[in-house]
Amino acid sequence: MINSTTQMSAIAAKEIRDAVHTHLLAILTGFLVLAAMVSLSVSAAALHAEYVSYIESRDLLLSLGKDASALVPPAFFPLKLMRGFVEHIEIIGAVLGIVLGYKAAAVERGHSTLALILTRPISRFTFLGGKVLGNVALIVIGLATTFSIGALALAIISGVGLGATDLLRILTVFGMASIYVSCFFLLGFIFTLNFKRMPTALLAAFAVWLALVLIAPQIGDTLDPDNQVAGGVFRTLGVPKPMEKEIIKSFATYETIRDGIEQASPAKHLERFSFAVLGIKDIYNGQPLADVVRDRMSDAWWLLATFAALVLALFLRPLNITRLTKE
Amino acid sequence: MTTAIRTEKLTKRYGDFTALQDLSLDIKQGEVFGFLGHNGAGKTTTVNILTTLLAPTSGSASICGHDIASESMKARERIGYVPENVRLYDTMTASANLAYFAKLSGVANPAQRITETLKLLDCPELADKKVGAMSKGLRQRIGLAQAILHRPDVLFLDEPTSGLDPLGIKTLRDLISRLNRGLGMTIFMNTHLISEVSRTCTSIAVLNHGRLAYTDTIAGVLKRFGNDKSLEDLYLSLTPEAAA
Amino acid sequence: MNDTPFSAFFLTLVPVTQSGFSLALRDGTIVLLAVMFFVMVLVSAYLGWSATETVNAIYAQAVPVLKAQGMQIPPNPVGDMPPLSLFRNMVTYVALLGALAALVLGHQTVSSDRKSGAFPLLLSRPISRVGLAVGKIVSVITLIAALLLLAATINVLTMLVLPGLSVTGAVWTGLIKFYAVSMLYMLALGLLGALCATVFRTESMSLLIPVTVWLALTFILPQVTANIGPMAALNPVSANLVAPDSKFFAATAMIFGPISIAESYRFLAASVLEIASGAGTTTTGVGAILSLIITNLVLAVAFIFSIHRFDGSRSDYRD
Repeated sequence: MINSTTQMSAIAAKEIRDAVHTHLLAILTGFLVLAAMVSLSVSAAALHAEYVSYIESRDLLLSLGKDASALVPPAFFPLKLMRGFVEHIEIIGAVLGIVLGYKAAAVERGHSTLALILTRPISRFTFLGGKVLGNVALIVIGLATTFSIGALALAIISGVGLGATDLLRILTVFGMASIYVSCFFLLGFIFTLNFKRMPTALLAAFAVWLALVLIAPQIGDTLDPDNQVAGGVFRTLGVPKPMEKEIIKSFATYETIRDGIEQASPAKHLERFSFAVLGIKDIYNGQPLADVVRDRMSDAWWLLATFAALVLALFLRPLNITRLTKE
Repeated sequence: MTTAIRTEKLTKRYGDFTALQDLSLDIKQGEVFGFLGHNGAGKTTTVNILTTLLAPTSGSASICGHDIASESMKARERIGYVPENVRLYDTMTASANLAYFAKLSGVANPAQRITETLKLLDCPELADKKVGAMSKGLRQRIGLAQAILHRPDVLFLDEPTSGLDPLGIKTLRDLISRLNRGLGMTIFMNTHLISEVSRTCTSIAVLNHGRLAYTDTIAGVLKRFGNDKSLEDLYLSLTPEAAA
Repeated sequence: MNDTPFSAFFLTLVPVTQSGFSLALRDGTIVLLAVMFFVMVLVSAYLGWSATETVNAIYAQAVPVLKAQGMQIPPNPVGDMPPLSLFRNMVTYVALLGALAALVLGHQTVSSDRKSGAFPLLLSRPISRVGLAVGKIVSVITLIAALLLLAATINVLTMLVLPGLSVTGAVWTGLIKFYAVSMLYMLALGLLGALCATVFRTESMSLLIPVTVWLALTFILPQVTANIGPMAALNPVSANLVAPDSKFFAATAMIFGPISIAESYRFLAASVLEIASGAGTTTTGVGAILSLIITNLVLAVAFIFSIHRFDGSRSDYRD
């Protein structure tokens, strides 16, 4: 009997070699790095502008002989600059996953290679497993590059470097982001293996991406009672914080629906988890990593469950050879 | 002689359409078997079933004694397959393509086997060429190399001469007889070209609308009908709509 | 080529335009995206209604609380909401689904001909290539207009059904203006799709490239020019955000502003729907309109040129 581990690693290795060889990995990672770097440098520039205006106001007050202690200097938490970075992973990272999934199936479809592979003593499980393994490895490589460059840039921008805990937080987000992007890889892969036409599969995957990554969180955000008026309803009305909580309580059902729509979006789970871990969400800022992760574990489970469900869907569905080998 | 391929009442239906009906064949080891039929007669369906790509609706089949359903992995170890219009990975070189399939087939020493195989097929110079840049004939040669890397007992060729020029057809014919005589491979060849069958094959079968219309050795056919011309007449008389 | 290029132009234009319609209606993907767009138009109407209801409810609860505290009672913010702001989510859905539908529409008008192998046949006939290209553009314009007309009908019905809205002439003008700028934005993406379908060798590449451009326009450029984060870029209210006052953003806005058409669109749409004052932003209405019009013209000329230069013997268009 032929060793299925050897076969699986041969398939996985070929996926990686292909992506490197055709520059697909470089192109996709490059786009992601570009987006991430733009967001980091823009955030840094914005923070710098804020700081400059603080200094100017302070100097103005001091030159007028007034007390400037009432002015609060802008707080600086390097990891908070990663807000746009995480959002780009949500949006563009997912596209990267879909494109890899599409490519993994497209390279076999319409060629006779799939037929050739499946007449070799190799099980469907080994074949699909090798494909998934190779592409998840590609995703990890792409994201590791993006996160490393991002962390390096952050260390340079902040001027003080990043501590071990900061790096650990970034590493945690990187892990979750890998699972998230892998979910979209599986989506693209499953669609491209099963749709009648490949371009239709690509567009259908994009439609799901639009619905889950962009529209669901946007609807959830729009339905947020406080977001109904620019600047916030409660602020406009001048309602103090404790009363705001009291009023919100009577919108429980409404809030459940809103939350339900947001829960449907894997992007939102990645965002909630990452914003908590990186301290972008104020209530988590400065809290120990372990506590934050424990508190947001449900988001991690959601992503893992989505990943597991997609893997299951991939393995349970038989391959339609007649369709897949047709030119 | 032992049996290389045996099918018993093999049937494949797609909804109401019957692609293959009760096909029973017994092909001995060392034969070059020509499977004749017009387009859509069910030849490719048969090959897809025998290469374990498709499951039959009913009936059974075995390759070198291994049932294609219950022992599909064992059966796959014994076969090689060259589909019609074989296309490997265009962006990879011939040897990279072959190395990949060698690993999937469990070949022990891939590099050495690839060199040997390309030499056997008279094309060692193709090793470092990209498959995408090759002509159809050369691409098919690499497809053939892929199919025999693991030295199978049975080789399936689906319409091997389709799209080849006369020189390409002649080269292919030589290679087939080399694989058959030199390596003792049993060859199962789908075709709709009568001229091919009479020159290359040792036995034939004619498929008409999914049913076996006729089967015999070439010697038997010639004894009964005479020369090539009558083989064509035989085919047309068995498949009247092909003549229309 | 025909002796009278002018008549050849029109003889080509009409059938090309007509075939454009029938091809689009038979394309499953376009129909899917169009249906998604309409669903979201309906959702947007619901969201507009729900926003008003929610704020009313919050106000009703806040008043007694504020009274009990002896605080001043502000006016209900709903009274200050302009009627068209009801449709503020339309800006997002046009920018996402509308844009993607237009892109695919423009793409398939060329790719369906290339896939079927009709292109070499078409080009071997005595037709005007410019007529062919213009015919394609006309069919794209008409199809996008039809999509928007249906969306507008849903909006108008919503306005008429919702109680308490004072629909004035200015409101109608605003709605027409909104659909005009939406048309301009969607057309730009349609033309981009058609251009890419002509230029690239494989169907997948010719889809992925314009989608990447669209991604950059929607999510990356707004951040570069105005520090609008990728997710905030989806919120029409973000048109209100003022870019930080610094040399960096002044420079980026100058360099990238003119090509940042997604931002131009959001700015224009937000101002006509009166959800943004536009005050304080670096973008100006005239500049935004100009950038949309010029982008359309450049893309249209590039598309006509690409059809004119298209190698008719190329028949290797693959998936």
